[in-house]
Amino acid sequence: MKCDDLKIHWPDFLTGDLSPKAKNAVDAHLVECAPCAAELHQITEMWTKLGVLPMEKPSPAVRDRFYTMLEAYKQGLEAQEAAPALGRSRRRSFSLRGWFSLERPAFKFAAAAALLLAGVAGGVLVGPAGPFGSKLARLEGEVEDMRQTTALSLLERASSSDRILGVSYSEQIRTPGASTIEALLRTLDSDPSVNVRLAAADALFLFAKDPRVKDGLVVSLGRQQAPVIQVALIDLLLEIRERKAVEALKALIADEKINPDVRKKAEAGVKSLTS
Amino acid sequence: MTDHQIMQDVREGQIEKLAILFERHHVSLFNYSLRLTGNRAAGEDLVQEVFTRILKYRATYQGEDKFVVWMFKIARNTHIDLLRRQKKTLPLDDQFVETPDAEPLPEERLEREQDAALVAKALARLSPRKQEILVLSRFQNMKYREIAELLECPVGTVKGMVHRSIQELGEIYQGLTREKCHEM
Amino acid sequence: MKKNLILLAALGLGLALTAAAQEDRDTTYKFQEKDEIRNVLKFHDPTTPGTLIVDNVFGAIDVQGTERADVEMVARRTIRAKSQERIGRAKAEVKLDIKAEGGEIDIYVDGPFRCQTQDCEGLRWRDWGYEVQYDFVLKVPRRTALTLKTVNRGDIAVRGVEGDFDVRNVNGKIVMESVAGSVRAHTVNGGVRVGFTRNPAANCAFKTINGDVEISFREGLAADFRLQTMHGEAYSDFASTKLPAEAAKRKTVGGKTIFKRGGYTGIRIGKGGPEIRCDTLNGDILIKRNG
Repeated sequence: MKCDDLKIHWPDFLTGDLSPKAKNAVDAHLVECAPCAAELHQITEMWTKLGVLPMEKPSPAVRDRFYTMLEAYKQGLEAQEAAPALGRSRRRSFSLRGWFSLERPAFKFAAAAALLLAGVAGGVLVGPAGPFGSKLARLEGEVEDMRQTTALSLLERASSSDRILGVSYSEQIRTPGASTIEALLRTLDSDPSVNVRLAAADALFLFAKDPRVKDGLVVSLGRQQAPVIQVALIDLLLEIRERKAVEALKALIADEKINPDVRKKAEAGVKSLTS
Repeated sequence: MTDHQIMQDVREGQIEKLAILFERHHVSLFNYSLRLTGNRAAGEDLVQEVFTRILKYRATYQGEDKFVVWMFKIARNTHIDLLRRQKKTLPLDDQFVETPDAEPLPEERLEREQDAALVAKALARLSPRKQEILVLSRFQNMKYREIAELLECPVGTVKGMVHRSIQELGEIYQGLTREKCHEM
Repeated sequence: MKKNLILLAALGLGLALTAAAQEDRDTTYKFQEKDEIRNVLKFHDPTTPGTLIVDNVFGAIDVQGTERADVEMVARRTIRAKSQERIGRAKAEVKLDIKAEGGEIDIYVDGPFRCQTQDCEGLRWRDWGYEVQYDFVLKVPRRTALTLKTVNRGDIAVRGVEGDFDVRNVNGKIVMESVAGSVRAHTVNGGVRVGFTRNPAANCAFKTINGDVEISFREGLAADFRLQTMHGEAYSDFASTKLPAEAAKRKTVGGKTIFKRGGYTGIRIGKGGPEIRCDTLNGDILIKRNG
């Protein structure tokens, strides 16, 4: 028996998962082959030594953080379920629930589409009417401008949580202007924080009807490196059925360095968009 | 109750049940990151981020993979993201320096601890890919076919890599032991 | 009931880690300051039972029923910080809000970390450079309604109080002894143990994810129980008869309607009565007889 043929069994030997047949073969070989016996002995020793490394304990902050996060998430979900359905989707207050809302494109496509529709309907129904109508409209306009200004300034801040707040503000804007869209696309492309980029992707989803947004998203897909954002963008582009994304997806698939999960998603995406 | 059943419930909205999965797996996740980065804070950040993502992306849990494999897929992506965000951490060697004790330890325990430190040092000198393969198979006790699913490569490749990694680890460890002997 | 597999190992691991964690805590925050606030708070009308609300984030809540007509609050504060400067910040940023209006006393721990547990844009755990733990010890009139909440680092304990209870913990247990009235007790990582001096006449709900639910009643118990445990057993000291399964509930999730079976096992003790729900995932349910 050649040594190399036997060595393929060694990893299983280490974990104790050798079949009886293989075990016999290995034992038989070791008796005759001193170098193999020595080598196996060495790696077994090393494997055992590895096992002696202690399992470290994290600090208590880890459990505190988790339970705090769990509680916050739960409250966010509850708040969302309690909120009335009409006009809800676009008029979220800045809240944790905005983060975890079902409208995020990565999942629950049906809900997202439905809520988007509700938002449009809500906008129409809650719109100005009657004697206070025009006043309301003017006020709304002022508030809109203020939101845009605030959002833009927050997106330039040094702290990533400020920038996330900026993205959140921008989601409140009913019809974002060119500068807001540009700012969001810029954030999506080049913000140093992955979380802020993800947030920008989700915000842009809300404005996906705008052709500038659609084009910007496709371009951004070609530029992203982080797998999590690539996945989110692909989901988003599929959601809005943007055929222009097919080229960018094909480029991703062709890239060798791409994360396998992302490749799978891209392939599914191409199939879906070209069908 | 299996991880899979619990995760299904979490996916359907019973998110508090995630606490069970947290209690079962967070130490293992922490150690996975710690062994690869040598940085405790990064390990803690990883744990938090992974569970946050598990909640956020719970709807994508299909159950095709075993739960731990799915969880480690998220962990690997998170690990990559976190590495990109941070500048490189302290030189890995320093992380495993034995802390000087107030009282002298019994001889054997001291020896064992020093030995463990050398093993850890050697591990830290392997390439990230080799480190990871060893960490996953030795510490997370993942079966080779689960690791193969996770890394999306054939089982044979995984096994081959385990073999080469442990061999290389042995060589580095021997080298370190010799150095230590010369110091004494 | 359910399967035999009692996996208390997970619970054990959680407890072991918590115990060990206590030592590690003191090394990340090198500076520490402790103090204590004492306050006597009054209900507007001492002749009718008032409501006490304690909304905490880090730390324990301990409430004892007494013959007093007012509420004595002792709040033990421990500030741990990375520097002396941060201790100052902690004092400025974390506040104890106490309101006494009419029949309600409301004790609320406020601080920037509130963004973690309520609607707020702060999604990531911030390293404030400090942590503030409040451990409350309160003495209340024997008849008081209690709403108690905390999240981490403490248990909630109640002794000798009669009223309506809404008790909520996340990473800690709930222990109520010698109480009477309707109880809603819910935690995530910890057990729920309640002992009644008088059997409840109104609906109750006891829930945890990782821990036992252990409730003690008096002789002559009459109630309808809905019990659920995935990984544990349910035991009853009282004779019981089985109730029909609950009707499947309709639930809408993301636009889809899914039907969920109740999943609870129903038993009737005595001639039946208020509905008492006991719910755990990883632990046992014990319905005990106490005198």
